[in-house]
Amino acid sequence: MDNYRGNDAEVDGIFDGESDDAWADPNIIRRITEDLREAYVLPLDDATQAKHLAAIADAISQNARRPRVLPLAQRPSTDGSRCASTFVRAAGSAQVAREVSTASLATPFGARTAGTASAPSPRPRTPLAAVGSLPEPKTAHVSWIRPGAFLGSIYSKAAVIAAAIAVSASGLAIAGSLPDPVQTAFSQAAGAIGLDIPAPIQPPAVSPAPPREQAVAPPVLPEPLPVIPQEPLPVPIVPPPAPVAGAPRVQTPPPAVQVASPAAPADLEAWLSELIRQALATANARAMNPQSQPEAGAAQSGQTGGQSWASENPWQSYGTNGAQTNAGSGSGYPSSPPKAKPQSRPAAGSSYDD
Amino acid sequence: MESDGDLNEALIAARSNVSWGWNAIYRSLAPTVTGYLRAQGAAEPEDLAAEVFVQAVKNIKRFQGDVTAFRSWIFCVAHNKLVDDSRYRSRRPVQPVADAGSDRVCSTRVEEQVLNNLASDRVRQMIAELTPDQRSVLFLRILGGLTVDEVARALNKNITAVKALQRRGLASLKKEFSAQTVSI
Repeated sequence: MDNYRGNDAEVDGIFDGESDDAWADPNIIRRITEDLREAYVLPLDDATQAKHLAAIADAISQNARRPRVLPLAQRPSTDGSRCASTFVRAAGSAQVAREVSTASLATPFGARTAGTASAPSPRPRTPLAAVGSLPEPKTAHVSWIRPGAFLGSIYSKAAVIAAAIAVSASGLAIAGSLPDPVQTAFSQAAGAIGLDIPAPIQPPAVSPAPPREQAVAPPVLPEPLPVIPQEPLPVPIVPPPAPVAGAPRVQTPPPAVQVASPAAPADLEAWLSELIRQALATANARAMNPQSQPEAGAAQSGQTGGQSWASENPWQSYGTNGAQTNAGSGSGYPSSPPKAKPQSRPAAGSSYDD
Repeated sequence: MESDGDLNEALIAARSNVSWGWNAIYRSLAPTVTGYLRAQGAAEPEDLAAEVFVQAVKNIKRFQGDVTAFRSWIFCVAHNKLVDDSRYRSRRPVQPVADAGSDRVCSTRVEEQVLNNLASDRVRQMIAELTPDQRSVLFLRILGGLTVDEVARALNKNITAVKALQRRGLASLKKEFSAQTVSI
């Protein structure tokens, strides 16, 4: 058997136990074959067979439901009958092929005959494309918008532009940046539908000038008041009362010298009124008690280092200094201290407004 | 096993996904396919045989040929399934668990089971000396009943290689058989 060079028929005979004894004992081969079959080829029980047949039936049902889709890339078509040929190949029936190629396919957009379409003819090449070394020229106009797509028509473009203008104008109107007439129109239009868009700010109306005949008479001004130079006015200092014997001594601080110094002329009219009122009060005080001035001036000089009030009086200095005195010139410059105002004048503290 | 004429009709029916055709094919080829898988050392030969036939149902559209070619194709699918299963089990080893029910059933026929086990052990000792290729060729030739050409197509080998494997395998089996007979 080791040097066996027989054909397959002889080996098959050996396996079947029909070979001669030329190279091997057929009984030995037959016994080996029987032993192998008895050892491994066993009948399947009914439960296993039923389980396997159920699995096969399930696979059959799945195989029947699954359509056989052929890849279109592997089935090129040059006559436009790609759908029909694909379906026919999947179906595997020549009868179906004839029916499909001659009948019309029902599509959602209507009946469509299969197998009659043809590929579009290629565009004619320009003469420049015939030049070998040059690249193929591009088409004259390449439209990135398909004619049937959005923005493909002039109306859709106009609608988009109008919408863009409306949006931008609305934004400017809300911001109040439009011209006044347009802003007013937007405000009124928006107010009609309940929107609040600010209207332009209207300047105050300028009334026409009244005629001269109807002009208002000039207001009656009070009589001119004498101009009083700003000088630190003397304030009468009242000595504290003598302490009463037996009474408890109360240490009171000396009264502070109140020097009238009006504040900065933030309000000029009020400042002038206060100044005039102080001047009138001082004049009244002088008219009522003309002898108290030296004492007051002495008292003041005692407190200010012996300088008398008379030397501080500008009216006296003007009167004693001939160079500065303008007496009798009639220029109106006072040569003497102003006289006291009559008693009919309002008292200190009142204003001219009264 | 059914005749080739009946199996040819069953094959025609199976091509059209008719269930009775597949039932006939299964009843005719399942024992030998399961025996082949069992002889090759499959862990669960019945389940693997079922997978073989399910795969055949799925791929029946790709098959072209007669009954003889179909039988060779079925064993080719079985061989490929066996290789895939062995690779899968090598990556994921499974510890087997004893089935108490099967022991109780087998205990009713102890003597027959012992004799079968003795015969199986003797055959296993014989085929243990074969190489895997020799084993495959002889199993397909003996258990499957395939010709040399069919075996060559099933194993994806040329005919000369299949003949050489068959010759060396038979010589090894004879040697082992003679040694066991003498020892007995």
